[in-house]
Amino acid sequence: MNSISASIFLSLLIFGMPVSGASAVSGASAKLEASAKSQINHDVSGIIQVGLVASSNLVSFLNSGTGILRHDNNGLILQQGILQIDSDWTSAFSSKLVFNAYTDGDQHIGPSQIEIKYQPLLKSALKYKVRLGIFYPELSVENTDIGWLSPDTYQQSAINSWFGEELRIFGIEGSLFKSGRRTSTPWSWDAKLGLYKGNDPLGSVIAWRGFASHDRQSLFAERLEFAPYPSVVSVDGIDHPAWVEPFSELDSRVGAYLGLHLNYLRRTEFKYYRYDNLADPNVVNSQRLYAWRTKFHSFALNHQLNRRWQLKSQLLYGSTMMGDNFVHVDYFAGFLQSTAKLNSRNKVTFRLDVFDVAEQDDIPVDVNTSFGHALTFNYQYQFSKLWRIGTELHINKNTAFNRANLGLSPKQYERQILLIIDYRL
Amino acid sequence: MYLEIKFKTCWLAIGMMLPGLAIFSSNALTSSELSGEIKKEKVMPSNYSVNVLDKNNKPISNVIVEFHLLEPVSRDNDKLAIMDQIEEQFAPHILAIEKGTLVNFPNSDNIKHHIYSFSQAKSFEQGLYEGKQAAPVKFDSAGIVDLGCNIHDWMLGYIYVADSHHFAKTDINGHVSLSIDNAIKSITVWHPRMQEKTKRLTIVPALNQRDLAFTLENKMLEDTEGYESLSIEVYP
Repeated sequence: MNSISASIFLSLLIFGMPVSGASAVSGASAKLEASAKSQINHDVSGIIQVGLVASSNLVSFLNSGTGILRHDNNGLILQQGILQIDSDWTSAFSSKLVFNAYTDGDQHIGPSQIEIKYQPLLKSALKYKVRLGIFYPELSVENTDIGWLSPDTYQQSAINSWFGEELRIFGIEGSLFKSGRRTSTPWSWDAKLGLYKGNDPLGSVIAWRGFASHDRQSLFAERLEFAPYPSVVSVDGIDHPAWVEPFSELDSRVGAYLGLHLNYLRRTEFKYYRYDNLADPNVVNSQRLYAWRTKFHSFALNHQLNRRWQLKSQLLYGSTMMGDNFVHVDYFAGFLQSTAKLNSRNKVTFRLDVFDVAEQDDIPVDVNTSFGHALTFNYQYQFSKLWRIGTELHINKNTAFNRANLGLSPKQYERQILLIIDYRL
Repeated sequence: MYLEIKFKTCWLAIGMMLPGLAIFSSNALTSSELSGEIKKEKVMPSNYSVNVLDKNNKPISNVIVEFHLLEPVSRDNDKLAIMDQIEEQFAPHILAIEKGTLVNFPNSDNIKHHIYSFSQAKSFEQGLYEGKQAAPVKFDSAGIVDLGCNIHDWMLGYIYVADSHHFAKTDINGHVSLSIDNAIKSITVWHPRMQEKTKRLTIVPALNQRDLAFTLENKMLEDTEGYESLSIEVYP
C-alpha cells in the first residue's frame, strides 16, 4: 500500500500543477451566473446484486484453482455490492468514489476507483478535461453501468474481466474533445493521453492462468490468486508467488496510454487505445513480484442499429514479458455482443468470446499457452426503476496446457447459471 | 421509460393545472390573443400569414417568426415555461418565450446535468440533479440563448426570448399565421441552422401587406437531429 500511496502522492505532486494552472489559462472560460448559492452537491448511488448460482465444479482462480469462472459452488451468492459517491465541489471540479463489497477473493470491502475531475465550462466547441486519481481508462464499451459494471451481462467479456482484475490507472488523464453537435456535424471526437504508475504486474494472470470471464474487480492493494503452478512457485523455477498484487509500483517508471474516441451522432462509438506500461521487466521486488512490460492495442465498437438492437464488440491484441524473456506471451481476445430490448422491461443479450495466449519465451517448462471460447446468454426483466431480475447462462471451452502440471486435464468445459436480483440505491 | 413517461405526464398535468402559465407547446405560443391585453385604443386586428422557405423553396418548420410592434407595449409577465431534460436532450429543442418569462429546467433523467449558456441575452449555469428541482431562471433580455450541458456535450437547445408575445413557430409547411392588434414595424425570422448574412432575417412589410414570404439565400447547416433519435450507453 505504501507504493500505492506514494504513487498517488507523486502523481498529485507532478501533475497537480497543470491541473490547478488550467483555470488560470482558460481564457475562453467565463464566470457564469450560478442560480444556486453553492455548487456543492453529493449524490450517493449503488447497486446490490444477490442471487443463486449453479456452477461446474472446477475450482475457481479466486480459490487458487485453474477455473476461469468466479463461482465454483452452488447456492446463494453476493454478486455485487457497489456504493458510488459523486460529488460536485465547484462548477469545474467533481469527484467520484466507488466502493465494492464481495464475499469472495482476498479482500471483501474496499475502494476500486477514486478520481477527481476538472472540466471547466468553455465557450468553444473544442474542450478539455482532466482526471486525476485511480481509475479505469475509458477503453471499454461494455462497462457503462455504475461501478464499471456491464448493464447487459453479469459475467463480463474475457477482455474486460482481465482489465477489471489487473488494470487500473494511478495517475492522470487529459482529454481534448470536440462535439459535433456544436459544429453541426454528425462526428465527434475525444483524444486522451494518460500517464500513470502502479500497474507494473499487469499481464501476470493471463500469462499463467489465461483469460477468464467474471465481474470480480480487484480492490486497491488486493492480492489476486491463481493456482500454484509448480514452474511458477518453485524456487528452481521462476520463484514467483501464486498471487499478484496488480497495482504495485516496482520500477518507478511512468506508463502511458493514448486513446481516441470517434462518435457518429449518438448511435456509433469507436474507441482505439494504445496502452504501454513501459515497465522494466527485469525489476523484481522482495516479494518476488516482477514488473511486466505489457502493451496492447484495443479496438472497441458500440453501435445501435435501432432503438431496440445494440451491438458491441472489442478486439485486443498485445504482449507481455517479464524477466530476461522468462515469460513472454502474445495474446489476442475479442467479443461480439448483441443486445435486444424486447420492450421497456425485457432485455436479451448474447455474447461470443474468443481468447488466446501464445507462448513466446525461452522457458518451455513454464507453459503459458492457453485458449478458448465462451458463450454467454443473459435475460433481464426490469420490474421498476430500482428492481431488476435476471438470469444468465455461461458456457466455455478452454484449454490451458499448464493444468497438466497440476494433474488436471488441460481442456475444460465450464458452465454456470446465475439467477440475480438487483436493487439500485 | 415507464417512469420517464410518468415524469412527462406529471409536467403536463402541472401545466394544465396552472392555466396561463404553461407556454411550452407551440400551440400556446401562437395564441397571442389569449395572452395579450385589451388595448384602450384598439385597432382592427390584422391577420398576418408568413411562409419560410429554404434556398430550394422547401418549407422550414420550427422557425421562430417574431412581429415587432411599431410602438412597443411594456407589460407585466408572470409566465413560467419549461425546458425539460429527457433522454439526455433538451425538450423542446427550441423554446420561444416572451421577455421576462421564468423558465424551469426540470431533470426527467436519472443522471445529473450541468446546463449552461454563454449567450449575451442570458449567461448562466445550473446543476440539475435527480430528484432536486433547481430554481427557475428569469430571461429578462430579448435575444437568442444557446444552451449546452457540460456533462453531455451532444445536448444542444435554444431559448428564443422575444420582445413581446407576438411570435410563433412555423409548422411543417413552414407556415405561421398570427393576428396582431397593433401596428407592426418589422417581422424577423430565426432558426438555429440558418446561415444568412445576419443571425435573423428581417422584413419591413408594406402598409397593407399581410402575406409575407421569407426565402433563405444560403444553404442551412446540416440537420443533426440524428443526435436525438438514438443513444448508445456511454461511460458514466
